[in-house]
Amino acid sequence: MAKKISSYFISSLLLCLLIAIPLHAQQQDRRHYASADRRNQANKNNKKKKAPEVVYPLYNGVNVGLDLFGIGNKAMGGDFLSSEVSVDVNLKNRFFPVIEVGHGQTDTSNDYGTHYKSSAPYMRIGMDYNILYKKKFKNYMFAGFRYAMSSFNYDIEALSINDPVYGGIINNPNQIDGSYGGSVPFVHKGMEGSMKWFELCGGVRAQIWKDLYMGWTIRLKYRTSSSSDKYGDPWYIPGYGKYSGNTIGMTYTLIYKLPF
Amino acid sequence: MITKYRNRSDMKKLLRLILLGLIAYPAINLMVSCSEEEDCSATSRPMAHCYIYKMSGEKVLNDTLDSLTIKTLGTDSVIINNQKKVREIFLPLKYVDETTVLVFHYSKTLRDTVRIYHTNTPYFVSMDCGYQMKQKIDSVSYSKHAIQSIKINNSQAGTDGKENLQLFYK
Repeated sequence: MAKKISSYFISSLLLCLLIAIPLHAQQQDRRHYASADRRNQANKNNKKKKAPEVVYPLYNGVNVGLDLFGIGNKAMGGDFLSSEVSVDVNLKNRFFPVIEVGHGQTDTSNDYGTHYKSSAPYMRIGMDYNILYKKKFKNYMFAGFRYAMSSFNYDIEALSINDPVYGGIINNPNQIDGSYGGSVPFVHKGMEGSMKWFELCGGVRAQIWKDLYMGWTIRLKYRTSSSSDKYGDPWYIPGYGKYSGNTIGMTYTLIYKLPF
Repeated sequence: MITKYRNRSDMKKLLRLILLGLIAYPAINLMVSCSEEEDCSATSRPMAHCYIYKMSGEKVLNDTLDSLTIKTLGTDSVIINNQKKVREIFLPLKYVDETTVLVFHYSKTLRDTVRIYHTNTPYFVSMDCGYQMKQKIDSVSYSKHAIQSIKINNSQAGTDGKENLQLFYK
């Protein structure tokens, strides 16, 4: 529990640093607006004009994003490493159909000698809706959904240990028969599993410099279907996290708006 | 002009929301993680759950054994030690072998040998909970000194209390 709390503390700290960049960019935006206001006050008379309504064309460009959270999580001592690229299209500054493709992996051992290894791709498809679609500034607030899937192999090993000096076997501590004695080793490689899940997403995106943006998305993930091997459930699902009925996740994305 | 002021006000709101996300995410994550503490009950040892019966003509009646001691053949490990008025019993099945041989002692002279053939499938549950041993009872053979017959009611030995074997006594 203490380990978990400390990891949350570290992740919060990283989050602060990452969020500080778009905040700084937004403050620059604010200064820009303030000076523009002063200029307008000096130049214009008091005649009130009705604000023209902002109308965006259907196509407003393509954005390509790279998730930094999955990489940062592993760098801070997490069990899972994931790297993810996203592509979305801005339609009327309102609808953002998106495809996210990533690769997740883990190679972890626990205190009882179980070694778990898995590495596989995943894909999500869905759409974001920009709540601030009427606004002129290049910042966005999204609500959206994803449908995601991953098919993967996983290896699990927990062995009895031979004593090469004195002979004999140290039991596999994971499967000791407490009633009759002895233990059973567990070695199953190339087990097959798959999972499909649905995500509800919410997040923000802010311009940091020219066509470069940053944003975070919090994702509530709900399993819709899954399959496991005969000898065990998967522990890690690429793109989802720990195997369970529902979980929460996050992406922190660096985004580039393509110049066409 | 009004539009720009409105934009600035919206920017403030957006900044507040970014800050809210900053504070809310670790809090939500911590709560979810606490609620995600896994239920590891599936990894407890499965048992063959047995009830004692006797036949009265065509009728099946519940029965009790006055005294019962159960030992394993060979090792003489005691599973049940001189239990009185026995109506139900829980039998552990071996992890290492797929045949468990048990000797039922009813008195100093009367005993039965029960041989349970089962299939073991070790199953990984999670890194936090570990493993469970799935044990399926395939067949049962037995001597008939006091036992009349044994019927497999549910082949999957488990932790859910379902009846696996029905032991019919003379």
